[in-house]
Amino acid sequence: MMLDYDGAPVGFCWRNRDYLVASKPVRWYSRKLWWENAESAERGIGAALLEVEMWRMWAISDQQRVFFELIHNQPQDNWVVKEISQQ
Amino acid sequence: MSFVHLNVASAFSAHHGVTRPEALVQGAKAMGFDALAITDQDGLYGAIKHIGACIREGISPIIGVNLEVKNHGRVVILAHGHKQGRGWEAICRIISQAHQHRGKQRDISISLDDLAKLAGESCSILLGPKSRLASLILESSTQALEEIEVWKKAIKDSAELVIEVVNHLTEPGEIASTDHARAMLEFARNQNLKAILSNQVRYLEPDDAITADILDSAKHLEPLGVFIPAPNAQAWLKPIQKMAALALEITEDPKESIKLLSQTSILADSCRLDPVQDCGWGQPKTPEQSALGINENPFEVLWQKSHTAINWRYPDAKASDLALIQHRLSKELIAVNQLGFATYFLTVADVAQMIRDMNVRIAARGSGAGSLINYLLGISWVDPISEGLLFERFLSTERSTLPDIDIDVESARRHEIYRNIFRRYGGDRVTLLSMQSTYRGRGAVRDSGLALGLEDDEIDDIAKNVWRFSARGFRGAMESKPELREFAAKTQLDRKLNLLVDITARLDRLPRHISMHPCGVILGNSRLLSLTPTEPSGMGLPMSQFDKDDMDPMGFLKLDVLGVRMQSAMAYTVREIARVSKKELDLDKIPRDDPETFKMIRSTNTLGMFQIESPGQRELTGKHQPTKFNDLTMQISLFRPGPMKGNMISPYLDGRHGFIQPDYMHKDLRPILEESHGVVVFHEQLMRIMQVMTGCTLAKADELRRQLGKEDKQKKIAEYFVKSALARGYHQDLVKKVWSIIEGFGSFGFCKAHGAAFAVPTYQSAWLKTHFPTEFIAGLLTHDPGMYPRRLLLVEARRLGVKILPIDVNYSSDEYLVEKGNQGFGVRMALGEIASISKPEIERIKKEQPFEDIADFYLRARPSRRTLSNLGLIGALDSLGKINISQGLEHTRGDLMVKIRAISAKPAPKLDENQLSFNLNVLESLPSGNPAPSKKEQLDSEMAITGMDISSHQLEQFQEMLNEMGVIRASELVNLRGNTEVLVAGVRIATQSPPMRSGKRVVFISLDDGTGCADATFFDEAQNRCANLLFNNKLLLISGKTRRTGVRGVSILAENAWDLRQLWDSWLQKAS
Repeated sequence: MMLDYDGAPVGFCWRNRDYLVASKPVRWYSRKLWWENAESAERGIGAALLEVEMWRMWAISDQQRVFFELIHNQPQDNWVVKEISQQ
Repeated sequence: MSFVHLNVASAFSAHHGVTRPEALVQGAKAMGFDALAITDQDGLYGAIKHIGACIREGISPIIGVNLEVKNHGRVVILAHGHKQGRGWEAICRIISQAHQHRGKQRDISISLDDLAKLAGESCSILLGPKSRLASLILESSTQALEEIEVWKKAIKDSAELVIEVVNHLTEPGEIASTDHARAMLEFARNQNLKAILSNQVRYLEPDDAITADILDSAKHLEPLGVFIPAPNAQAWLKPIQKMAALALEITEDPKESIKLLSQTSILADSCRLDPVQDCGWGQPKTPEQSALGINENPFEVLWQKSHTAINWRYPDAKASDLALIQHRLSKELIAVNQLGFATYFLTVADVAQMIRDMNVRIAARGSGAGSLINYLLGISWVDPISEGLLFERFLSTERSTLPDIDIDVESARRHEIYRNIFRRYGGDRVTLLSMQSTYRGRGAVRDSGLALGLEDDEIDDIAKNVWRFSARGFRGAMESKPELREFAAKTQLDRKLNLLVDITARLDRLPRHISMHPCGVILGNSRLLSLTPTEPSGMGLPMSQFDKDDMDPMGFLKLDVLGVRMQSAMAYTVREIARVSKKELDLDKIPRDDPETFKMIRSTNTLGMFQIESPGQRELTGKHQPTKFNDLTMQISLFRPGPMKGNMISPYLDGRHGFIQPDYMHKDLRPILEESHGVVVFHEQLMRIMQVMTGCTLAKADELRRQLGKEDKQKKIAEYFVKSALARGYHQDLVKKVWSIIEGFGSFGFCKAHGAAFAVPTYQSAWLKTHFPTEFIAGLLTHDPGMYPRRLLLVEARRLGVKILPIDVNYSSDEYLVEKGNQGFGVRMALGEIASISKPEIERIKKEQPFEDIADFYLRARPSRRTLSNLGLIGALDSLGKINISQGLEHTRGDLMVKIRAISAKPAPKLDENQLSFNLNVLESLPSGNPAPSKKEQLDSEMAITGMDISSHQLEQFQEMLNEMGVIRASELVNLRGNTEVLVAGVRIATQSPPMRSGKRVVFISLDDGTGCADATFFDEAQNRCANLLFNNKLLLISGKTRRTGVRGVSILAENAWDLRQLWDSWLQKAS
């Protein structure tokens, strides 16, 4: 996963193929149903228990142009890539 | 670049906002904002706290409200500032209007027309993400255009319409997403409307979003996961950098972003309030002279009134006394005049007079009893001169806030008094006071349990053991409290229970709901309703949305008219005495030195005596042995958290009983400290010591006293004290010693005026119990003023030899009446004690009395089947069935119950004249030969139906076992030596766990066994053995050692406790 200075995705690898971001990525925040699996929720645990950063954008590889949704999990800092549609 | 948050919900948006206003303001200040709005849902509940915090932090307050407009969704209405209060007034009136017609569902909303009319030109209306317009912009552009036309047409050119752009970075295409925000902004531009940026704030920090989830659950009354939760955690108070970044994300154009931010700042500027000019901050507001019926200068009227009353209060005063009285009165009047509070005193006196004219008992409480003016005006009933009370403790020229004058009245007539106050001063000058109840331990556990979807039983079990600690301290309590040990172990295994602990702590102290304050009435001038929003209270009269802490800042005159059940019980007793014995009694005129009354008090049978009936006070009575009125003042004052924590009781008692020689330190201090044997107990004593040793005024002494608790001030006071006392020639050692006492006194003392004001009803109730026990028991049973269950009053009645007459449909009414029977006077039990009986049923029985027989009763009183059966089971129909085995009559209660079952198997008869004769025939006679209920069955019925053991004491059923075990009676304890091993048994009637100096918890349990009360103390180790029993079980057996505490004082140092029923079951098994 390659990011720019604001933390927005620039490029990533998906199914063994490199993609570069081809539209302005739209960041949004979704939520988690924390009460279903959290072990604790003490004050100060942080919003990452509840919230998750999401990005939507077109990205292109040498073969195709795909509309992606990326899930950025905190605090582990791992990324999940989901394909939404192809052109 | 600047920015101001204009849409901020505080925790006073109940079940929505997370952060208290003070914390939001501090947060805003720390982020560099120079203004902050508060826009709570449906009211100004947090507004005064917000303004106060803004003044302290030096930023501008902005006030608004988040309100539902009928058919148009939620909008925010902001008051414009620096408008001579017009913006503030508009907001108040809009809110009051929105609440006026709310139904049971609390559907608080205002019509667009009303809003337009009331908003005037002093408000801005923000159409934001929760408005109907916002969703239409997402769905249909034509409908959005129609919607804005409706708004424009309604508002015309009065209030300012503003589009509120919010970007919560929700999923693209949803409300408050970036593209939605962009669409809102574009819409505003096309419509030529101003647009501002807000973050629709719900909490201070992102972490608080978890708490917001739980509040949402409480609002929906559904577990998390059942309703649609908030989309994410973006609704926090973001700093300006983040807001600018959001603006840029919306506009994608720096210039447009700057424009959006600056529009926001411009609107904020016109909304900055001037607290003094706009809300009358800190300026006292009292009813106009005309409303009080005064034409002359109020001070002259006050002067006149109090001087003429000297004759009334002091008819036999000698010339020297009169000089003293005159001097004291002049001093007080000068202070009142200097503060400009004459109208205030006249107002309170006027209300007190009105209450007396209604023939309602009235007593002052609190420091107001220290004022001679209050005594002369009939507000207070303690002579401040003879009791040594100081005016300066109550009112001082060093402070300018209105003093509190609290009035106690008969609780049963409280609402009547409120209505009369409204009538007398007019609905535009009076509102009730509200209070915000906040989440404490149990409530927090319940709502958290609901959020996590726990079973009701499970929640109940946990909540039951949440005792005397705040939700915040839940984790800590789990480690230290034995009764939570089991639960603590469970949380290790059960994820949800562990979560429960965390989220319970998050709810701690958040406002939960608003309700009517139990005693506060606000009295203002005719502008009152322009200064406070109101909403309907539980009793129908309007109540202000402000609470007691908001009164001083707003300069409102708050009168505490507190309903006291004891006053009702005493008034009832006096009426029964007049009715039955034809004796007219004026309780306020009985001599306060009756030896019989003090003898009764000293016996420690204080049940039913105001303020001294609790187990702790009873024990103290045994040690203290009061002989005069001032002793009662003393005892009531000593048994308070302050003096108890300050460890004042034992040195006082030692001095009183001559175990130690009191140390008055200096001859000048002796007159001050003599009454308490050298112990500094009262604020008044401390003030007088300061006055004598430093030469300062009493007013200044009180100011210094108030600052003693504050660490930063303490050093300066010490310097002042030492310097002045040395200058007045007191020896260095003495000065040092006295200062160490003053320093240690800190916040531990008590205001003597409070104690003396309380001692009046204490003495009066003791006097009634001594001289009119039957009537007094009737009064206690009718108005239930004490801390104990009614059944204990029956026990006390038996002990006093007061005859208790059972419930009988021919004699009982809704009150406990004193009745003259063949064997003298007795108290007839009331019908209301029967579970399931309704008010109309009682009314019918009263109206149709007397009844001939069962059939007659059934037809004319028309009881429900359940009530009929309950009446039969507890013997209330015995006299109709002519049941009385001892008189040789043939029928038993068993026969009666068979008949009742037969009657109630059929549908109830219609009230039809033609049918009457037919039914009478059917119902004529009772069967015979059915067995009477056993003693135990009878007792079980009584407990189940009335909650009282009427025919005999609950403990009697276990007597055989108790005798075998050698259990001691409570009345025998006083004859035992200290350190004797004993077993006591009884019904748990009180459990207390007062704060202790050591911080360790001590649990006091009182058991009643029919002969009196046995008080047992459980320390740590004993609690470890049986803590769960102590809070849950009613019938207990306790083992321990006696501990002598005084002439009549014995308590038990408990070692262990058992469930009496369990013991009984195993005893029966062994026996068989």
